[in-house]
Amino acid sequence: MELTKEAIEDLMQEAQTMPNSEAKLALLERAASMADSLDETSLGIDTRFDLMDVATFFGHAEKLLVAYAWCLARYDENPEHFNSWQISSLFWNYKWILHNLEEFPSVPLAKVIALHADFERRYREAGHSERSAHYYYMRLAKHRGLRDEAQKYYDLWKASKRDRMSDCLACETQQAINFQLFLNDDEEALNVAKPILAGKQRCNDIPRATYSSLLIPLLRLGRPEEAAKFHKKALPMYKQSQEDLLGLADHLSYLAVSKDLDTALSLFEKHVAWAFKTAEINSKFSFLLASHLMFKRFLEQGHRDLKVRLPKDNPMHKDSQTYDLKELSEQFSEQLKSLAVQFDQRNETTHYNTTIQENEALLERLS
Amino acid sequence: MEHNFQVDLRGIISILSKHLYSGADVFLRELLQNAVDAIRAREKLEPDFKGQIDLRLSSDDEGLFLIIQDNGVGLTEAEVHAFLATIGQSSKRGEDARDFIGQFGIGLLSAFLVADKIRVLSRSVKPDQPSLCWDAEAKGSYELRHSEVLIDLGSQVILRPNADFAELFEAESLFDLAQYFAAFLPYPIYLHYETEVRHINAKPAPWRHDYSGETARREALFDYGETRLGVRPFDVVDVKTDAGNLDGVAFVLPWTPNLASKPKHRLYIKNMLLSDELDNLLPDWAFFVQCVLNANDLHPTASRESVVQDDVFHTCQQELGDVLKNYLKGLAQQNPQKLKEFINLHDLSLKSLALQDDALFNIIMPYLVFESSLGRISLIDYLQGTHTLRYCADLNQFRQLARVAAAQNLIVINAAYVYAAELLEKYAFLNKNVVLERVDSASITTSFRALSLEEREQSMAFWRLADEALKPFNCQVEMARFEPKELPTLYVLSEEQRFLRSVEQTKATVSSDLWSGLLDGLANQQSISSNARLYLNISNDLIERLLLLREPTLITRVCEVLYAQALLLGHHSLSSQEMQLFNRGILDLIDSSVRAVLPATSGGTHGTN
Repeated sequence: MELTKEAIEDLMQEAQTMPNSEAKLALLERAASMADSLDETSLGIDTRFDLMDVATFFGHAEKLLVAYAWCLARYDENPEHFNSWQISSLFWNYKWILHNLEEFPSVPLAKVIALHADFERRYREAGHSERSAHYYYMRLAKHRGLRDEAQKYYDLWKASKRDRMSDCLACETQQAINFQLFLNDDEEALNVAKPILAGKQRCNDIPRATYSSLLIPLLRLGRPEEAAKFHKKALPMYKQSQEDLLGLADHLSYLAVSKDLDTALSLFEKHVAWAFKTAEINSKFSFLLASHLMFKRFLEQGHRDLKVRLPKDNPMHKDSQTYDLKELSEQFSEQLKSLAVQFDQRNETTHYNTTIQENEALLERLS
Repeated sequence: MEHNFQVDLRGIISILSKHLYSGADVFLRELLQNAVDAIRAREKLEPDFKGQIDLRLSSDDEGLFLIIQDNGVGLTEAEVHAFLATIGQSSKRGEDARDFIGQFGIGLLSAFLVADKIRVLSRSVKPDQPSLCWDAEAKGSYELRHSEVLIDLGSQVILRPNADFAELFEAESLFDLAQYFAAFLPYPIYLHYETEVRHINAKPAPWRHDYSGETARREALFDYGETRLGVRPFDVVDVKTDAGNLDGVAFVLPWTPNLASKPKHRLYIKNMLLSDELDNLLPDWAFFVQCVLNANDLHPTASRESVVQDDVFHTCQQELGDVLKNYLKGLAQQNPQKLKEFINLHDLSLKSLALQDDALFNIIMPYLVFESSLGRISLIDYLQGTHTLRYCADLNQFRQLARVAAAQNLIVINAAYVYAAELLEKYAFLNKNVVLERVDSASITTSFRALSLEEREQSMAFWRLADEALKPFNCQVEMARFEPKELPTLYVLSEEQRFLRSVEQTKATVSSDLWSGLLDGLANQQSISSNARLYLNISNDLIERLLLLREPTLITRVCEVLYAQALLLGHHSLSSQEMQLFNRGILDLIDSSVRAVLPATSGGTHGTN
């Protein structure tokens, strides 16, 4: 492949015909790299916007962050490099950055908070509603397990004006559902979910994400038939692990709690490789949490050994593919604890540790 | 004191035309629908009754007018007040609501989209009902009186079009419009204009017609497909589902559709056209067909231009998927050649489907051909001699590895194409005797032979200097023996390392502390070093000779050039610094070679500034 502008544009065109996939990401990364080698800022920006679209929705938030940092640096150097659509996108995509910071516990808290403040300032200076800033402060507080702070920003969010930078109605409703679940109010969560469940609000990820988020709550409310319905509807909507490991973790938890262990194991085998490979640590944590629930259930049912396919490059991998359940369960437990420590240290709270405990209690609560 | 809401009729009509209906043409569909509903209502009372709809286009001193006449159930006086003039109510709610899809009484209002005045003449089939004449104006008033003239059983809607819509009311346009919506309605519809009477829905739906035989049927359907697609379809599939009570045809596209422009389907509900642009009824992998379908049991939205995505819809969607899957299974069994052609055309659809459906996956896999280090190969051929499926999912690495792998007599599949890696992974998942081995440049080096102690001793001096030379590039120098001999170097960078490099390279362009800090944080998540490795192949003649070098500047230049060359061969991009050093290195080497040949000049030294 020659190093020319035309070659880069060809790569971009080819990428546009592809569905979200590792292959598409690789193509766009190569295109961006080539643009950098040629010192072509415009093409560097174009390729990175395409790249960000894929990275965000295909489990590679780490690539989103890198591409965005570059674009924002170019914007601050000289906004003239960007056309008006790209400037809009730059503001929009900053939301994705804030949304995904929770995936990377190695980013210090001071930086996380400073980024939220930077976002707030830029939006204010551009004349956008403060609604988005409140939204992300709320999410940050939720991530850290700070109830009062989350409530404070939730109220501010609700009271502020929607504008074109706000998430679509469906996504905002989902955020409200998540907030109620954070407050442990399952009834209210289902109440808030009504417009989505009635089919009145939908978008790319809704109602898939909605159904997934309500599985365990419905079990807690003693409504297993509805949970089963939601599970049946939503699971086929997930095609590849990279799309939404968090949603898949919800289904794994549901299957473990409902004692459908065959399906649970099958789901686990399908997605465990990505769970260990992903750089998105929060998603990894959630999937391992659900997996641990499944192992506990197996142990509870009296199993000692488990025949399961772990990826070959996984440190726990055994060629025999047969594992001592207790040992495996403990190894996952160790992993979970170590990840929780990373998050809690960064967040300066104990929320992730609490989450592990609550997860353990889930099986007793819902036996 | 209680008040009633005042309704501004003009306001509502404006809302309808701007926000509910996609265009004014729909008035004809709405009035035809009302006519069909009235006929169905009469059929319930008189099972042997034969419905008929007449469109009469005419003119008088006042101008052009259109009469839409049905011989359906007609309206009583009370019904006129209740249903025609009470917005939002409908004669079609209640237990019989399911029989009629005209659940939304606003249908009649659609006539106001094109006309300022509507007149409805009606006589109910119920005993002893008067002939009624109802005149309504867009400004919101209506008048109801008994007609002196006896009116035929049923209803007649008379419209005088606004100047804006006069074109719609030309015989030709009206015929086309009526046929567009109503070609498959089960009651005869005639257009009367001057002395002409034209039968709008003379022919039944092509897939329901009685043909002389199977061949004639297929010919006719292919012809129909050609009128829909503009080209003869690749194939025609008969479609039938229980959920939604659906029938119709799916035309397999004879071209490869672009993901960005999926085909749109034509859907009729109870034989009335709902939409020509439905794109969500079929499963998302099924973008290789364009369909014409009729559903008796799917539910339209209020605008009657789209379908409600309720449970019936979703079950219907699954059944449609099954129909297409069965078609593909049928092809595999009865016409493998055609299946191969299909795969060539609709590669992506099929791969996407195969990933989601195990049965189809097993059927299709034998036909899929992959790129590999030894050319195109099918999985069956690949697995002839081995249980191990080796693949590389990174294009850069594949290119580098292809030669090394070939020299080791290993076949590596190029899985950098869309879905390729996922298909291989699924294959290994379903076929437990097959071992999947992901190959990257790091893994292939495990087959490299380390240097003997003696060889180490001899090359240590060079090695040390080489390592120094490449330190600024975060690259370690390794020495090994590997095949093919012709390959002097191999540059190895894992995916994690490549990511770390991208973080470093981006950080170098970022001046904000905040964002530098973020990038640092990202980098710290990884626990590996970002050191790449450059393997020097001592089986290679050139490398062997280089090991004898001792002059530091020359070694540095040589290593810089070899490094850059290895990057280029691996299709990695060079940073501008690397590019500069590469250029300088080449020029220096040229200079050295030239000096070595030319007679010595005074004061000449090695190297350039």
